[in-house]
Amino acid sequence: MNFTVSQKEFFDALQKVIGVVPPKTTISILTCILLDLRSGKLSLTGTDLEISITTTLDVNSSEEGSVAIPAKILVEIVRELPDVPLNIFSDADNKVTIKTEKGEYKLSTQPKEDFPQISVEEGELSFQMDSGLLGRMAEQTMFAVSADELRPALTGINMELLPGEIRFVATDGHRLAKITVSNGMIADDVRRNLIIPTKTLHLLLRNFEDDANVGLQIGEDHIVFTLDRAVVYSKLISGTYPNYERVLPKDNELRLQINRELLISSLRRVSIFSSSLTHQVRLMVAAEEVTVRSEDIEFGAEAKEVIPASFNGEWLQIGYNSNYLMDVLRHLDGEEVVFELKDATSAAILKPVERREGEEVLMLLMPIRINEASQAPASESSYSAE
Amino acid sequence: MSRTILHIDMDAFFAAVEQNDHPEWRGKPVVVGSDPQGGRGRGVVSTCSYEARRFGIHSAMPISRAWKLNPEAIYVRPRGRRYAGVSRQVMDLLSSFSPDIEQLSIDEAFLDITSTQKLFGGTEAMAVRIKAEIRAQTNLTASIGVAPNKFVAKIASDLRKPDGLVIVPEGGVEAFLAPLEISRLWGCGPKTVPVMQAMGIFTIGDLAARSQKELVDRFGQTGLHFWRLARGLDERPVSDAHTARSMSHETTFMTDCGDEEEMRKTLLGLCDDLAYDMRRHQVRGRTITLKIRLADFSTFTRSHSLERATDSSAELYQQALQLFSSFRREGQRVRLLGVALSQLQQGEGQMELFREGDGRSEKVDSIMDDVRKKFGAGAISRASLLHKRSDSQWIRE
Repeated sequence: MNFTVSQKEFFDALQKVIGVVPPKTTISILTCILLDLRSGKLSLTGTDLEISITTTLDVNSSEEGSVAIPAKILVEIVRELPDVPLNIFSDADNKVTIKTEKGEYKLSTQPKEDFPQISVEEGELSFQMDSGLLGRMAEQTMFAVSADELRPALTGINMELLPGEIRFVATDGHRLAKITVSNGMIADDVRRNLIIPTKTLHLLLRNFEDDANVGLQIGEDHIVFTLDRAVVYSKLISGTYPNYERVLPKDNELRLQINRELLISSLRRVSIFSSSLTHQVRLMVAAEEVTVRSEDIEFGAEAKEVIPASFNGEWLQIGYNSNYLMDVLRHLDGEEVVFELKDATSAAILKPVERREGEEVLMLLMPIRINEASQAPASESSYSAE
Repeated sequence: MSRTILHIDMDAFFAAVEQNDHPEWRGKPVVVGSDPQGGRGRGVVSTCSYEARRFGIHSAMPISRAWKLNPEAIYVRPRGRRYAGVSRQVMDLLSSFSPDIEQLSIDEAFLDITSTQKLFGGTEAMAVRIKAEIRAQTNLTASIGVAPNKFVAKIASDLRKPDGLVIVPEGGVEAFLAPLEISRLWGCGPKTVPVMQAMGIFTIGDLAARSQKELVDRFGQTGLHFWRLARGLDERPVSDAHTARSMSHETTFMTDCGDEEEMRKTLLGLCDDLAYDMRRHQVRGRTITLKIRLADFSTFTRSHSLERATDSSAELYQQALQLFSSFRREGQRVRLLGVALSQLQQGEGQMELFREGDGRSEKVDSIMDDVRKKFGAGAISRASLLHKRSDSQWIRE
């Protein structure tokens, strides 16, 4: 193998693949990136066996071939080099040399035959999606996934394919983000639920360039995204996604409309004064204004701000984890948002006031129970400290 | 940097509170625990006064043995609420001496005074003053151990009970520990002691003289732990973050129980009480442990970890029941049942979207909580427990 490529282009390509390479693993070949050079195209592949990413770039090639190079050292040296042409070639004793005008860097490689081949069977379902739309759907939901490895289904994005409709849903059990798009991309006889690992979508977004479209190919237990210059393969998360429809409130009749940016910036200030344990803020909602309050009893600190709003009820006091609330608000579009509420202990629905054609965005947020009364003294229970 | 840690331990706490509240009991043997029923009682001693200890009575002893040792003693049932109130008073007082407080249980706490001792005229003056203020405010005595770390401070407070003050200076830790019996080491229980003795290790000093390698070879990681403790090395910080690591309820049956139905009801009652405590303290637990003591006193625990922390009575009961059903008791009767929750997390009051079931059990919980808050813990009970409400026994651990 022998080719010449600019440092910048090569480093960009490495950046797209390195995210999937596991930093620690017992299978040492997985710490490598596979370089494969064929007819003037260099493809770089990294995998952790769950997800595999291949990106391609055009290079100046003089000899085809492939090698598996330890990813960490490769990325480190390429990052440190200036943007000059790099001549990269392998020799007979399994070494790869990166050569610039001024220097020469020699790396050991691993047997390329050991690098796992991902065999992708023909997916049973395939369609094209606007990449901007896919990106937006991913970004507006990914923040709400759970980090709890014990509930694997919730660590991913639930993608629902329904006749004429695609839905992304993410939830960690405290908040939920759902975006539905209906624009006829999906055939009428399709009905399919799949849970995509969040990491897959992160890595996919990193590979977006000027692609207009993304090809999706869905198999029994995997999904493949095809871009102009990259292919992202991922296993799906097995398991059932919780029945979130059941928890979507149907009778939230109170409506609070408020400026999104104003509320976010207010929350950012007021939440500094909230307990570092609960991050609790209180919204005291009146007909024409919302008071955002928090207090940290432990440090005797408190803060409040008043923001104009419009509310069709009389008065409601409701507590939220300020981080959750800010997350939700940041991932909504538009100037104004609407809270649909019922009472202080029920889920709130948040929606943007302006909707995009054919799209419906909905966020759900569970409140924190506000405890006004001081707690009764401990009794009848035993604590053990060790 | 060297630290100054206090371990404050209230002397015979429950019994002392009782003697305070009933001045006529002062100077007499007082045993706080379950009903001795003329020597047929089946619970255990929670605490007893120093006068009772002279008869050989001590905490965790079966109440029937205590009765045999001294039937004349004053036997009283524990009053948890009262003790908790006094405990709070003491803990508040301690907090005024240093913000770095770790409450270990209802009647003991660590206090890190490294940064505040100068304000109070030095270590000894401060310890003396804390004792005096506890006495002035509650009319109770406490024993205090002062040392550069938690482990040594705890041993020190126990050395001159009651009303003791033992200060172990920075350079004197090894000399202080050396003559003490190895059983004082945390983790060195009835199973380890004979093994140590067989190795010729009788005192902490003997242990400190051994090589790290020898101990690790013999006891594994625990060996390293012993080696460090024997040299007085303990860097655990005083922190209130995880003061309570578990909460539990247990009960001893009036007569050893062979009736499945009754055991299930007892479990339900225990789970109800425990879950109520969890909710009241705004914590949730992830690991449920069932404790079973059989008629022959053999004791077993079975644990199960949930996907997420819970404070729901129904969920707790369902898990406890599963552990109970899969436990093989080979026809033996059951003497004691207990339920504990550990891996506690701050409940934060953050509500969940996906509750198991239809939310009915959550409603039941919250209604029962409201009634209990207004009218006291005994004001409401599940119908299935009406005729058989076992008395939850407060056991100190």
